[in-house]
Amino acid sequence: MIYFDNAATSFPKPPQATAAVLECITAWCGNPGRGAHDLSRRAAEKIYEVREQLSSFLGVGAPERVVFLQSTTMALNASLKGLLKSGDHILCSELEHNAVLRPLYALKKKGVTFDTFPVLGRTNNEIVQEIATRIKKNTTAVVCLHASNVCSLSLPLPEIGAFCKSRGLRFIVDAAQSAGHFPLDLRAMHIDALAVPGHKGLYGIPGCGILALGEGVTLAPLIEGGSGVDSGSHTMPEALPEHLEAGTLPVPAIASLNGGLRFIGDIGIPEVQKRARGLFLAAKDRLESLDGYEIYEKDTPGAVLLFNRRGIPSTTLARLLDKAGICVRAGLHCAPLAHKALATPEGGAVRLSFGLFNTREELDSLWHALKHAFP
Amino acid sequence: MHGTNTLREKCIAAVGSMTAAIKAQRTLSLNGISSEIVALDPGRTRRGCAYGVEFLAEDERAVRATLRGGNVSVSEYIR
Repeated sequence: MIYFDNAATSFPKPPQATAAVLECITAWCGNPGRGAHDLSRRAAEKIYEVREQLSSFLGVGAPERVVFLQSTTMALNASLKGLLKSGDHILCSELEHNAVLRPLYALKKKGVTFDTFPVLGRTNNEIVQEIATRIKKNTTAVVCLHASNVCSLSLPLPEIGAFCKSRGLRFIVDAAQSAGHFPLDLRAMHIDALAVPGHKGLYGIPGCGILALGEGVTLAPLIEGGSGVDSGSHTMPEALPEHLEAGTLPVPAIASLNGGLRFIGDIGIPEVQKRARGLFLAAKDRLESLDGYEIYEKDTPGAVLLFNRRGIPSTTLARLLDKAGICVRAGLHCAPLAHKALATPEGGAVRLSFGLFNTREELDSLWHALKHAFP
Repeated sequence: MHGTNTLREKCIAAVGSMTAAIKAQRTLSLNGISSEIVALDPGRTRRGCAYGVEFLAEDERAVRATLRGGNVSVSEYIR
């Protein structure tokens, strides 16, 4: 089986991550913060170590501002619903995933308004200008992805962050496709809330999302519940991270991040980028050697390749490849506005997304499968 | 500094959570002060279940300075 769907979740996981999970569930998987007995305390200390790793990796500056939730989607919901109130206006890019769009549609019913800003075909400065021209008196925040889950485009976070800071706007970032692939620095990029998945570019197992918060950023909790402290109070504890972490943490998934981060750290982000970009270019070369294919955003410097065979629905093409043992993702990729902006057909397109375990030989197999399907 | 000793007077720095307790313990350890994470009797704090780090009372002045310098928020010191 060949797996080209790493934008959905990375596969396989590195031995460091699986070993960390095994050690967790066999040696120390107590409930962190629920009692001070040995197993609970050891679990809490292991979780704290991962907060420290992430704080350093993401440039947060304080481990307690690394909050563990169930997913990136939950981290984005917590950010948007915790920061925005009725009467606020927010800007988002035209490439956003439904993890941003659907909370915004839900907030619209509560009096929050939003507009999108275009990014395709723009330079970094032009993207900032597109944001600037859409600012209203009641604009309080900008939310955008770092790297698209649909195509190879990424957005200039340092420039957008600097602009937001200069205008006193909150800056919320969806790093679902960039964490582990691109350098991220919350403080240097002036990010207020950064949503990161554990199971994609950080090579952990599914079950854990990360919300990293800037200094002084306070959110209303998305959910309330047990926290292990302040049990007599009717509200969540004030201190981070417990303020936002109601209920038992996904301890094995967090443990896997310890291994995943070591795996990424040993390779280094520049090498990760180089390998993914190499696979993107090699895949593009192979597709361009065949007749009848359209590749979207093929000249932007990322590593997610979106394509179609003209006249063939994307789901049909993905099914043919599946039968040849090649896993790809077809359709709209939970990002309908992005597909509209890219002018893909109604049925969307086929996405190839690469991981550190993919090889060029696997791309040869893709080429042969396509050649065989459409001789 | 001294290690914890059951025969000597102890003091507890109460903090907001287990995460804060671990941060406090590590901050103290980096400064050569030994401490132990403890769950506090809900009746001893204003809001119920809480955690703290227990240390020798004679280290209190150093502990206060170290935790303040390490940005660890202590709700109260309990003797």
